[in-house]
Amino acid sequence: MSVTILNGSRNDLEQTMVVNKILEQEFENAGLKPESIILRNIEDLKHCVGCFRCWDETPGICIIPGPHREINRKIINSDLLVYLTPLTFGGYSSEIKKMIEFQLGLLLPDMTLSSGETHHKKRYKKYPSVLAIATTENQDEEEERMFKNLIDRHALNWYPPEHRAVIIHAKENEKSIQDRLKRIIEEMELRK
Amino acid sequence: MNNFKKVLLLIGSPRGIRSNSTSVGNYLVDTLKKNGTIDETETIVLTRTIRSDVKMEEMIASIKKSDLIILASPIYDDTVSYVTLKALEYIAEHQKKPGNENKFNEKLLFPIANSGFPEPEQMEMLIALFHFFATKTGFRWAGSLSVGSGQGLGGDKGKTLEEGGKMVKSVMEALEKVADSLAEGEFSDETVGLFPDLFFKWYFRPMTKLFVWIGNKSWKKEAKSNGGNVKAKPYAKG
Repeated sequence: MSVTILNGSRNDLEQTMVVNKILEQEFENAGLKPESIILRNIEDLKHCVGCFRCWDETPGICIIPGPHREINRKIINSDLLVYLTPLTFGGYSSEIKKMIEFQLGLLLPDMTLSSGETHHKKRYKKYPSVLAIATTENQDEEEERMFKNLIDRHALNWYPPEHRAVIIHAKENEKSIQDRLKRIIEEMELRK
Repeated sequence: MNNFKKVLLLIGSPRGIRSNSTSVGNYLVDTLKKNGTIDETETIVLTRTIRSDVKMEEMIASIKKSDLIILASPIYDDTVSYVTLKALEYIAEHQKKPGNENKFNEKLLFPIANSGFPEPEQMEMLIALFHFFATKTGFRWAGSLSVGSGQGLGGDKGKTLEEGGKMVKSVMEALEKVADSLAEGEFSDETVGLFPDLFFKWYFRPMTKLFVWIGNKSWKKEAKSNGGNVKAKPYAKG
């Protein structure tokens, strides 16, 4: 079972880096194979320009060459995708959002009606489960609720078999973070 | 009645100037001009701004000189576009620096969100994010407008809303109302779509399905004409 961790930290000192190490260890303890991708360290990672060529010209592949193509291949072939991000206005950091936008081609342009809303159809049979982890120095209930709502909405469009949103505060010690993440991995029944 | 000394239009579309964000943003600015409620305007295309700190600082300077900031931005993946987010992060970092805490106070922020999905309600998360940003950085919330079915506006082809004709009449009317509200200082959060509310009622469902079917067919046709299979699975194993 493979795990891709997309790390949207802005620098090496952020708590997301500490959480990344703990996550890797806990996944390995559970017999999973994690691969961390520190997005800010990837040279030439451009941003999506909204051209939709990944739908009508080179279906499934972004027309702009670059490392995001290979990351998309890893994502769609993973069993679990982890978004690890500093909590930013109740959502993702720009580093991680840059990569998320390139994932558009993993869906079809075709629409379907679901619960009265339009959503894009699946391109692939199987999509990874999503574990979204946001780290924050703030204690802001509204911002945390926004993040959880975002991941729930995200799940409507990305068909993860399971999804979880987790907030980690700067004050939380490493042992507590480790225990929580271990429990979440067990609850998501990822152990193999 | 408000008279704005300077209105700054920030275009947050990853597509840059040829975008629906530009079409709706320009229409609102032009309407404010026509109503005589603006002295000066400036437009900043964020795809260019986020490329360098020099340009980011120029954007900060422009914000400081403005009393109304219109932020026109699409929704991407249920939330703010990368391009807009990058600029918002920079603004927030600037505001946190000692001495800058109150620099944006009393400046009005009016976001226009647009989406390819027909339901304007799909933009609630984006509007919430903009509101949260405004609260944390000191901007005054001047209301917002969410525009559904954005792909029908024609901005990606460089069209103005006026060139969109009857099809986009509802969006133009909504923006005209926004211009009046901004001038009167009566701020509210509004939604508008190209399709009437009827489109979303259960008894209209067969027609909605027909629209979706026609849309899906056109993607298939377009991909085929480019020599591709719209349903290709290039990253599938085996």
